[in-house]
Amino acid sequence: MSSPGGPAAPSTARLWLRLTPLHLFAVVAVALCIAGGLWQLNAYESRQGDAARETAAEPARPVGDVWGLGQPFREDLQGRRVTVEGRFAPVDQQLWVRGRMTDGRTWLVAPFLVDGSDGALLVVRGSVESSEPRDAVIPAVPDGRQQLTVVLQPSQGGGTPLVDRTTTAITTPSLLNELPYRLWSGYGLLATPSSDGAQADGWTLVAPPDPDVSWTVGLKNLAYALQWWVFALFAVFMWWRMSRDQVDDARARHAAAVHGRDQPADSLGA
Amino acid sequence: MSRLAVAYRVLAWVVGVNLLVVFAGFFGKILTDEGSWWNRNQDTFLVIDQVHGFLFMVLVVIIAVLANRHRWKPVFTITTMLLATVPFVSFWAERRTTHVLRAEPAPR
Repeated sequence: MSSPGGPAAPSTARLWLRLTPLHLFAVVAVALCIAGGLWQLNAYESRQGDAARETAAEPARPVGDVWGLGQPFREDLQGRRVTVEGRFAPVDQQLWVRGRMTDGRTWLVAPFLVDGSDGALLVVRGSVESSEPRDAVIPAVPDGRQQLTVVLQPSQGGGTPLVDRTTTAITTPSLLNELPYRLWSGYGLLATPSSDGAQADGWTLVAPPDPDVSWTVGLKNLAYALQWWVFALFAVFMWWRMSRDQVDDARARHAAAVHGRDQPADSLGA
Repeated sequence: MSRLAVAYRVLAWVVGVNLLVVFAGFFGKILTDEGSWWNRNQDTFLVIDQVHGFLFMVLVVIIAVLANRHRWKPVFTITTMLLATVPFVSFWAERRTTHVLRAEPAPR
């Protein structure tokens, strides 16, 4: 390849190896940018978590302050903790729910007649493994006036009609036909086990699902994370270009040097 | 000097001044009491910070294009970018770069 007199052209690998400091710098720069992005992503997620905890930590207010019988279930009611006062409906009006929403377990749902509302709010008193024999026994309801704390949830879709007082989801519009009450258009997950038996004996309370937090909470941090990663890509791009240009330049210099040696000054004059 | 070089000089200066405001906002926030003017106006400083971030990105791209046109050495390119992030030093870096740009007119 090289002319007989001139030194061999340095190999590509050798030329790239000469740029080792640049390569190391690129690695450090890219690592910093990726770490910066992860740090901001972390900040984004912790802001999302803060927002979720704030919703959950809001003090419980009387249900009448935020919602009413016959009113639609507003988005901001989801996950809201409220107190309800009233009585449980007769024990045999309770129902079991077993389906996709209950995650393989059985929920016990009781209509709770809310004072001053002329209607019932469905309250989930707890859940058990579906296979357990106590499935067949209807747990007693506490007598007299109760004050419960519940976490509100919207009505679920697609519940089947009651068979043996069992359905697949808490669908208030269809349960309306099965119960002798007007129903609130959502339901409540019992949130505080009360000593007087609102939580069915031997059943565990159903933990409310994580409240929905808009993905735009902490959006600034998410944007910064993406920005860091764009910088990382840019660093890779710059590294590639610089390395390539440096190698090209080195080759050109080498070629010029060889050329100059092979054909001395006479090539200019001829 | 090419139009791009002029754009670089203007933007480097703007980013440099903007950077001083960003730093003033940051130190004003952490060094003064909660109710101070600095803390009450952090929303404004946040906007200034974001404008700075955007302008800096544009500056970095311009530097990259200049580096490619003038075949700068990697060390010179990288230091030009990094020094633009240091308050006050950024002005010196701009002068250094301008000096180099004046010495060697764009080859192509």
